[in-house]
Amino acid sequence: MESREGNRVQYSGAMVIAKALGRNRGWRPIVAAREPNARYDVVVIGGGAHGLAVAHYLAARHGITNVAVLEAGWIGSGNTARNTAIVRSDYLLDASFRLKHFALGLWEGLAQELNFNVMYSPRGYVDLAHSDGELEHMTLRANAMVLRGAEAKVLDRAALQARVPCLELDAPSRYPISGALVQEKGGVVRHDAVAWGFARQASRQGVDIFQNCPVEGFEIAAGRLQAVLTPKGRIACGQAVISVAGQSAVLAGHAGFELPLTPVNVQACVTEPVKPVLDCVINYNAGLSYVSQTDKGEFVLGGATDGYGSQARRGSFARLEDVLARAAQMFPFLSRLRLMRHWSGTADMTMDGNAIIGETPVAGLMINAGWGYAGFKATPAVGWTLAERLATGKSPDLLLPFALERFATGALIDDAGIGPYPWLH
Amino acid sequence: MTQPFRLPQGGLIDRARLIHFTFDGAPMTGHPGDTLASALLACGQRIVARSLKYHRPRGFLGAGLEDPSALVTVDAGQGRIPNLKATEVQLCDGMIVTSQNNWPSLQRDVGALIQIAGRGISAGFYYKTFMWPRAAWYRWYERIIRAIAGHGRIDAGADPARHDKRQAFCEILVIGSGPTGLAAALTAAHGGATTIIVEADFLLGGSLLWDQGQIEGMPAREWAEDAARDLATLSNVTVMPRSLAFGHYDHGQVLVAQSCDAGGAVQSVLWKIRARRIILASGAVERPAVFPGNDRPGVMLASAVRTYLRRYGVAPGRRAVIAVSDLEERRRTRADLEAAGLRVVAELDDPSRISGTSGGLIRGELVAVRYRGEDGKRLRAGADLLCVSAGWTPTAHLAAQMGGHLTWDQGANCLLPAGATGPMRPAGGARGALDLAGCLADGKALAHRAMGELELHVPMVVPLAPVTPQKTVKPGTRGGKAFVDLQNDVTQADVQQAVREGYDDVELAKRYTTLGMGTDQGKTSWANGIVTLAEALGRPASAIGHTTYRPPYSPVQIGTLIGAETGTAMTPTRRTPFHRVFAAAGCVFQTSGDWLYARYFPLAGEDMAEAIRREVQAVRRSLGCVDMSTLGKFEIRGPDAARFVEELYCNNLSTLKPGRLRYGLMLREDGLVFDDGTICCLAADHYVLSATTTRRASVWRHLQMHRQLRCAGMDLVLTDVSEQWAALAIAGPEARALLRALAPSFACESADFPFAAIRGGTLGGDLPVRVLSVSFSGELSYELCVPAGYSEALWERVMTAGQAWDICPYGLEALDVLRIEKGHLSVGTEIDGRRTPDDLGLSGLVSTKKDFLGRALLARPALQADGRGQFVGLTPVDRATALPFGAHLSCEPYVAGAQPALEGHLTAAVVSPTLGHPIAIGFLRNGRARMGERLWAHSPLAGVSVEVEVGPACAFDPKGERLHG
Amino acid sequence: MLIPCPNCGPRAEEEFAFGGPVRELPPLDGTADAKAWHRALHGAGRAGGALPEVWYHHAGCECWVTLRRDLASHAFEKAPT
Ligand SMILES: Cc1cc2nc3c(=O)[nH]c(=O)nc-3n(C[C@H](O)[C@H](O)[C@H](O)COP(=O)(O)OP(=O)(O)OC[C@H]3O[C@@H](n4cnc5c(N)ncnc54)[C@H](O)[C@@H]3O)c2cc1C
Ligand SMILES: [Zn+2]
Repeated sequence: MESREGNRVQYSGAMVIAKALGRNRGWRPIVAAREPNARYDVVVIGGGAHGLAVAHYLAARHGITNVAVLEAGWIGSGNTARNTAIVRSDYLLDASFRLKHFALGLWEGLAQELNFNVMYSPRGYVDLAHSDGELEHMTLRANAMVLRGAEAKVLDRAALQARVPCLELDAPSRYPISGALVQEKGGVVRHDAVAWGFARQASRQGVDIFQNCPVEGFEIAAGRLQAVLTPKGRIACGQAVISVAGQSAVLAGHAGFELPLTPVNVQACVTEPVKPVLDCVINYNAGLSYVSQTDKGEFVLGGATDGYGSQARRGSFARLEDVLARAAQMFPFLSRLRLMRHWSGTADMTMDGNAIIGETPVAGLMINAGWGYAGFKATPAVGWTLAERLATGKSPDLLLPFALERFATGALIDDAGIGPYPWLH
Repeated sequence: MTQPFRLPQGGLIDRARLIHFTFDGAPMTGHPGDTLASALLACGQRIVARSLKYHRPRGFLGAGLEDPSALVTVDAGQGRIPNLKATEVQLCDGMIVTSQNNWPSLQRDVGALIQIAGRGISAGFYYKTFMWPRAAWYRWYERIIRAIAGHGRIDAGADPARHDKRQAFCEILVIGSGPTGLAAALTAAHGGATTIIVEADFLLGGSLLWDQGQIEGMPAREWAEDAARDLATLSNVTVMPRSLAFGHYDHGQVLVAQSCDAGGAVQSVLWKIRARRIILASGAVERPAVFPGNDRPGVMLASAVRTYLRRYGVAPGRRAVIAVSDLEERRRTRADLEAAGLRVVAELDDPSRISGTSGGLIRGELVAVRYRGEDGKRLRAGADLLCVSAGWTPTAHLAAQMGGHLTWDQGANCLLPAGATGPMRPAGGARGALDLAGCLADGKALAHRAMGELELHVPMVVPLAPVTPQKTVKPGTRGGKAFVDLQNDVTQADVQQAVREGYDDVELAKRYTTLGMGTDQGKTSWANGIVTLAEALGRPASAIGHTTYRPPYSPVQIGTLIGAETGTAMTPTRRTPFHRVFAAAGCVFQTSGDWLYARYFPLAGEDMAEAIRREVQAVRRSLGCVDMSTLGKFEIRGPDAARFVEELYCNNLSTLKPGRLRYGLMLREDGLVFDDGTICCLAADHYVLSATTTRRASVWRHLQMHRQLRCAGMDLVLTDVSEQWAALAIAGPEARALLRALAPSFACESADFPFAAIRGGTLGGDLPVRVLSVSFSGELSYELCVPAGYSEALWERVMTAGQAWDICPYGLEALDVLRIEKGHLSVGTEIDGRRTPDDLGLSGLVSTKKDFLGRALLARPALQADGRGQFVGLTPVDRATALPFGAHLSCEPYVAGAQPALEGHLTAAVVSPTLGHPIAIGFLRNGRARMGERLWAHSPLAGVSVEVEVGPACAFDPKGERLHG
Repeated sequence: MLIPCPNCGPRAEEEFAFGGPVRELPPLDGTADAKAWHRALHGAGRAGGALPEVWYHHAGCECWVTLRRDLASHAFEKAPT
């Protein structure tokens, strides 16, 4: 068993060389292995990026370190490991925009804060318009962003071609492209590293992280959470937060309430790696297809949900055919590359397509769910604000609109205006 | 041009014919029957690639698609395709092959200097470095890393090749044509099952093509040829060589990528095969061994060596060391080597006895093997070929893709699949039965079982072959790089370090080290990866598990996956019944969703803005016509029709009389506006509803759902007649005059045919028509609906009769300007899925006397609260400055960089040709109570901020007098 | 998936549109309030297992059909063998 002190070592180029001279024997686990305490001030259920971020900020900003993160599998094994890692804040609705924009600010300094290179790469997010009408709507969105303190621009075809030279704009195409909204601060972050970085830093500050430790039930007395039940036994807690993405409905079920969401499969895929040609993230909007090229050279592509309820974590090929066909409209050369792997995750899609964060009907039990296939980008902001909520008992303004009760009151945050059909969002 | 390593005889190649190709510009030759790899080897090209991270020289480890290292770029006349495994490419004439990931040349690659960094660039080093200064990762480090990474280069041009897709069905699908697959296919086929057998290779036979052995008294290879001939004669079998089964999906679907003959109509076909039973006879992949220097060109899997010798007649070297763990395979390897005239300089029963390899000074290819003798003495053997094998790994990917978990079997020393995953049954090598007799028996037995399950014949109890036990081979240790994953340059030390750092789950180790994440998907590396992890953790291999197997089994060209759905053929383009005549009239079309719409009708020399202005003015002054055919039209008939319609719309419809129509709002269950349209009452039991083009399909689905699931007891019939009607609206002060001139069979004066009415009959005595007096433009207007096949007749008559008033066809753009002037709503812009009827200024439509879909949830407090955005009109205070589109409203003039409180936004802005000044519509917080207030419309993007005055959404003819003519 | 349409037999999923889990919506007779509708419409959180769902067979019989399907395995009850 490793002691907590095991990983005080500070990462740097010099440290890498020093350890290399010792044949890399000197490295210690990023997460200390321990037996659980009988009681924690806060139990975070779900060791995805979100849950780990909550734990880190509880320790780092509020000095609360009697915290346990309980992860059913390995850290980051859920959607953190499966997502296309796009970060951006180009949202029209105020609440949507603000939380993600706050996150974008945090991404910028996260590698230094965590002493872990999470590889925030603000290579630009390019959202394509397929008609003048769509371009007008993007102008509305871009103006909203600028008026709220972000940077954004709208490019016409010529400017777009200059920005993305390898984008095909001239060949006859089914949905011609009229321009694009560009957020240069948008980009990608190395998804696994986010989970590892938060986990390591949380652990260094004294947070306990348990892998292969699913929460299987709750002990609730008089409407108040007392403890969580795990294979490692009963763990008492002052507060707990459910942050389990695709498993949200299951956990809510354990706690005796229902959430307005449906689990849906979302797929992504990568091509074989090639030398770099695409230096931004680009999004095709006539049927969704988003594309970026990793540092290793693979093209990563994703699309919309499979369109029906699923917890299978594998999808049908039809959706990928759509995604690939659209990607090839943008980049016909993709036809000659080869698809290397495709995979899926369970997205927890809500009735307005936006997240649910805050109180639940059970006192002491918080929820962070419903991020669907859009929550990675919000990771540090969720951690920051939810930690504040847990530490102070007061929801920061950024979180208020995301309360569960909004479905009862009608204060929806429906960016796409799709309505109570989660699988269509 | 010679082939110095071609054996004088043997091999399934056509020595009579030469195939010419080039490698890095050097001309080379091979024969039909060669793969690119066998031809390169025959020509003595032992180094063909540089590895991803360390740029180490790489040759061929395998002979099939499991090969991790021989990645090359191939141009076979359809542009350059990067990252192909030379071992999977069938050689053809004129191929231009280039090596990848090296500079300036394959032999002398500067990138190899990176190895100086040694252990400093071990697993995950980039997570610990490149963090200073703050923004440097993106600005600097990442750019350098990107430039270094990647294998081949893309060919920027479009793919000239054609690809297609097909569907197929069968009772039994056999994947793989080795002994197991052939036995299974023969059994199924002779048993009468409709059978498909797919094989990735261009020849059937699998291991029978190179392995020694006798079947039914003949050499295995001949038996395979016989079997293939036999299958070809049976009409219930489809044999598909060059067809890679790469994905297994729900309910028995297998996706297969088939390469077609060069020069054929298509280059590849994606087959979607649904089978009731699938026999997975995909065989096994040989496992390399982990020891220092195990990546040198010249180190090869024993089975690959034998394949090159026996199938291709190529000697992969001259002097060989054998290090094969299985006795029988060791014996066969030696026999094959010696039969081909190669010298065996050492034979080891355990590859872990190898302590290292030495490479040529310049090129690094294998020149000697260092190993421990029986007595533990250190020995060295000069050799240019090292045949290794640490056993076999069953190829059970397709079973695992559907969630079938594989378990490590201690005795078999490998991962084994479960007996069945859905309809899939692994057989032979794929389930660990490795010997020839076992494979044949297994294929047969599983085919019999499948036929029994499908009740094609009486169930037979046929035993399966036993799983073959295999020896444990420990990964070698110390000194030098011992690779676990040759493609991603992951060493044993990397894996050990990952464990040390807490990345000890197999999934974490994979992600941290990139083990198995290459284009070979770890086919040769995972077994060793698991064993290495198990050792480092001090746990049994069975406790390690495995990473998730994901399709495709082996990479598939994206062109194949897209098929023919490229360019403008990606999705069908819908054209309205007027498309042809519009095109003849010089219409400019615009893609919008499924449809090609008429956008505007320019006259010679006119630009879009001029054309739009002219079209708008024509409608306002005299007469225009516009295509309305894309609207949804749904008929409801029956005694309960009225009740049904009442439930769907929030309007009070009890007062709607036959012959009249009404503008209606349909809400979602949650109370927000879903769609708007007209509700026509043709008779007390007969209604026609319209839906907007955008929502047409979803409204129809919504109607059907309500009818079938919630009003199943109602007596009515619902019919989608959208396709049956072509609709042309005539609009303008002269619309009635034109209608009169078209000689309708019904009275059309305003008293007889008022606004918001519907009439049916004929035009000119013969053209069947339904006419709706509705208006989107605000002018007197009639929507003329004729059976779709008569669209051109209608057009002719309207245009001919309309000449008297200079009728002007107009398109979407003018339609939009006209509706903005009137403050009419458009789905997508104002009806955006977030609005209540009241937000849109239509609370008056909402009935308080009945229940309807959406009523209850519309009452939710936040939807009734004060402060919601309300639909208003806006005019620049100076009546002159154009309003920028996409602007937001605030109370203050814009100050750059400030973040003003936003009060609302514009949904549309135009310069009104009718009013002669700019106008806009949009949503403003509590807008209806703020008439006359002055605000600012900001568009930082356009760099403008315009002072505007709030007014009603309808800027023109607010009383609606023009509707009546 | 291969969806067992009770009218048309097993058909490819591309022929269908998903309509969500079966919801017991209140009757439209003016009796139910927002709370009742909120519970019925939004309380659709699903905890796995085979539950009834509705599918619209748009490329077939144009019927909304109710089928039970396991979310984790995608297995339909009474699926074809
Ligand atoms: C294919 C795909 C692409 C996506 N692309 C993007 C993108 O480009 N940009 C973006 O912003 N978002 C994207 N997303 C969404 C994003 O991945 C998620 O919103 C986000 O990761 C969710 O938060 P999380 O990281 O905490 O979830 P997860 O990583 O899923 O973490 C939840 C954790 O809870 C654990 N857990 C489950 N049940 C229990 C239990 N009973 N007890 C304990 N632990 C449990 C799980 O094992 C898991 O590790 C994508 C999602 C998918 C599936
Ligand atoms: Zn049907």
